[in-house]
Amino acid sequence: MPTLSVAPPFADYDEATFWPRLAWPEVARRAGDPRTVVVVPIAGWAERAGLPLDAEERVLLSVLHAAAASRPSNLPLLVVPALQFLIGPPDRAAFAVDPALAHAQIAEVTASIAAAGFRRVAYFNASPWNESLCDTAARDLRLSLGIQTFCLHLSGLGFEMRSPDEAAIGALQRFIAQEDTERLHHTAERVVRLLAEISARAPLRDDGRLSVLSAP
Amino acid sequence: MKPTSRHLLAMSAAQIAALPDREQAPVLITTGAIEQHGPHLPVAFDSLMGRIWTELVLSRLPSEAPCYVGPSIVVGKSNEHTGFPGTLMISKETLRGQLHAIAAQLARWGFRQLAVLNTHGGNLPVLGYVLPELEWTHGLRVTLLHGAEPSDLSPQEAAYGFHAGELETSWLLAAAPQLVRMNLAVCEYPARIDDPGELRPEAAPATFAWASQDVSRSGVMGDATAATAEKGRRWLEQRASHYAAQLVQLPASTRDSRIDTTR
Repeated sequence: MPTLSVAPPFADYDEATFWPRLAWPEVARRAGDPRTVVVVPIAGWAERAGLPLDAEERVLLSVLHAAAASRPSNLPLLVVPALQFLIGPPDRAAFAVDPALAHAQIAEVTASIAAAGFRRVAYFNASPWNESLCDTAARDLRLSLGIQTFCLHLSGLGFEMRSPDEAAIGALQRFIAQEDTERLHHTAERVVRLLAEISARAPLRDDGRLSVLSAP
Repeated sequence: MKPTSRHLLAMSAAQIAALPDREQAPVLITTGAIEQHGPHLPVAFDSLMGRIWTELVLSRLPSEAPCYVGPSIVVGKSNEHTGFPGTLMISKETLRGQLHAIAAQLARWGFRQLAVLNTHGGNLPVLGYVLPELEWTHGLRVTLLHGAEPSDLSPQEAAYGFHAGELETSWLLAAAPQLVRMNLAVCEYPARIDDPGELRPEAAPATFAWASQDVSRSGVMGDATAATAEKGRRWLEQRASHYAAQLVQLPASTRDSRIDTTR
């Protein structure tokens, strides 16, 4: 019989924080800490002058992996598998979906996370073309599920993911090839600080329910 | 061709456009799930098996056999496991939409064959009506790969060991033992083959729609305690070779449709 040859599964994620590695009773236990931040990575597939189609995911997961590995022990964190979609543009997107389908992916997975008992969900989005949709979904899900939702975009951390010019592509290429470790560590540190802020933020009043206010 | 050079997402659009065998090569995608698999297996199990099968199957293909790998669907339709924390789920509409998006792009790139390797039973009824749609809508020939069932499972396990039981636990003991906690493995069946009457949860003249909580407290449906790595190696090898053989035959096939969702 040939020897089995299977690469370490999910090697691109941090072991201690990757949701899919847990069995269901462990997830239930983690949900008991109301400070836990559940990160939902979001990335699309797009053409970028010779870069692989999954460049967004490679950049995003490198940052997340480094951030998870360097987080302080008192920052409770879980990371679900990346949601993969792109709503445009048609000349550069691969496997493009319409906004309704993209929103449904975010909403249905977030509802699963909330149903498990988690109250803080952070969308960490790599794609410049998904930003408005993620922001919209975060607002809507804050309202419909009564949980705290947050958005981080790679563009807000200094990554130029939209421009097709040579300098921007070259910078992404070096990052993906792990030749820009200084940038990786710097970005990971910023992400850890942001996640710590999210974890420390006060819970929503009245368990997230909104009411009609009376006139003062 | 090296297995790693078959992954479309690791290519640029220009590299995909330059592939000379797009019309003959099937594109393999996996449809999985992130859902409870008892107290002893990770919730990743189904999607993880998609990765494992892909790797094992590609390594068994002759280097000249045309075949590429497309995007996988990681989160599946798992609403039967509602109430078990850790289960992530999408709706049937979202699963359908994702499959159409994949098929549309492959057709635009000039591929003509799609091979679907499904690792989650809850997706199967949806695949049953969506895969024919993909053929009609996008002009692809779509094949649902089927797995070879081991002949050496007990009749009870073969009938009702369908979730996190002996078979699945053995697979992971062989492929990724660090992810299995055998000290937490249990045996819990949703039905017995010698139960009176004919109404059953699966594979019977009459079935009832079940949620996992209806039929299992642990989330296990089968005998996980009987699993071993040795059985897993054997069963992985059998099934991976079976999948690989189906893929090799696809390019030569001239049949209009190979969809068979009953297996």
